[in-house]
Amino acid sequence: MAFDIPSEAADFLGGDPENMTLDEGIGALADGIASRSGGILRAAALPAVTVLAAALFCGVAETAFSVKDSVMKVIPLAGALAIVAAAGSDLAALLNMGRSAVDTLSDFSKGLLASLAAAGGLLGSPGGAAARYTAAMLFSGALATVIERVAVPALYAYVAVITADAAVGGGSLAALAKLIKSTVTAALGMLLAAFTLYLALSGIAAGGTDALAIKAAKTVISNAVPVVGGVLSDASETVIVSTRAVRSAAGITGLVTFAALVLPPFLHIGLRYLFLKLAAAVSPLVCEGRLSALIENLSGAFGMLLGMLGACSLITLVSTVSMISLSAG
Amino acid sequence: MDTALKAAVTGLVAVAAVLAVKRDNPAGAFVLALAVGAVILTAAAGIFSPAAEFLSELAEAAGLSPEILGTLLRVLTVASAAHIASESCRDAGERGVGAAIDLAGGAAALVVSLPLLSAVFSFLRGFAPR
Repeated sequence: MAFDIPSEAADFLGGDPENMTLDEGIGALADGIASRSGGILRAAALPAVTVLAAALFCGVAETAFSVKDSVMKVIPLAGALAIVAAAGSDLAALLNMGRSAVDTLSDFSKGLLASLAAAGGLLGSPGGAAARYTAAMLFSGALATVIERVAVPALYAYVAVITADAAVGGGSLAALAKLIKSTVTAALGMLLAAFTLYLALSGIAAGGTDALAIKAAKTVISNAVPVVGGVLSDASETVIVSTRAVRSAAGITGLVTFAALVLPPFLHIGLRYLFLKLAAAVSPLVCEGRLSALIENLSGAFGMLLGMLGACSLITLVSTVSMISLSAG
Repeated sequence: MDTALKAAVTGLVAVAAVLAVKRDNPAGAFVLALAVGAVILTAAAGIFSPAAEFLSELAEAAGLSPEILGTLLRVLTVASAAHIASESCRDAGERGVGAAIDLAGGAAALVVSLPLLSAVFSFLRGFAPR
């Protein structure tokens, strides 16, 4: 194999994916998920339980004392700070995990794309291979820049704003938080739209796909990947076509490795998002409205993180597969 | 339940006594009210203790750091003390002093909650472009 298999992927799969068939690869992925599911679930549930415990404490205090006036108003403020402090370290750790996954994915796809571009050149389409390689690198680089310069700072700003909003109360900063979230969605969405347009213009995403499969994929992606789910689901036709190309080409190793790299951070971040949503749904029972809103908004921060990872994964997957389809003729 | 009943009865009897002596000796009535309040709180300490232990166990099980829980407890203590003191002053007709206690208590509670603010800032400081 002309590209290196990252050790993270080999660890997750419990072996080298180089000699796996598609079924063996899927089986290894399922085994990898099953063997880690307990730990991932526990790790994902803990932050939600923690913020709920902080909210419960504040709820008890609010029930015991009237916080509508006087000095007791400081309790929801301290509660908001406690909730963000409890969830913040986890969010930072996941941000680092996401960054690390994107870096590994980027390195892997660079090696893979270079070798596939060389294969495409050998098969008689050097111009097409070079063009696709250049475009893939361009979009990947642009996405990395957008994430590092726009999305990640915006994520921190979003957490700061929702914290301030919960501390001050009144929802006066809710619109600003919504604007920040929309900005991240728009930035990622525009880039993905440009990438999808590139695929359409270059003929990579040709028709002939099953409409039902596309509809199902759109629903799944849109629901599973928050914030930018709509954008990703719009690109699902490309994904389906690309995945078929992989299955019909010699790209099984690349696909399995890609999945092994992407699945763990997706599970970690996605499950935290879901558990925080659950905590937000339960929290009105134990604390006042603004702390509930804070927990709900915190889940939005994890959603933004998930969207960033989803966008990176989509561009890497489609770039890789478009090269594979070219090299496979 | 016993404690709550005793506190309620003590409070009602004390209020009656305070009202009886208030006209002739307002200062004495105020001191009496404060003393009864202190007695009730001391008796209620027996209730707070298991509740605090339960919250502590819950926080430990949930992974909430002792620093965060401890800070929340300190904020609650400071705010409660200031609240009770300021309301007592208002009952005695000293609204100005009550407001001052509110202000000072609020400031003290904010200072006590600084470790939480510091933890949030340390997260936000993590935003450092690579």
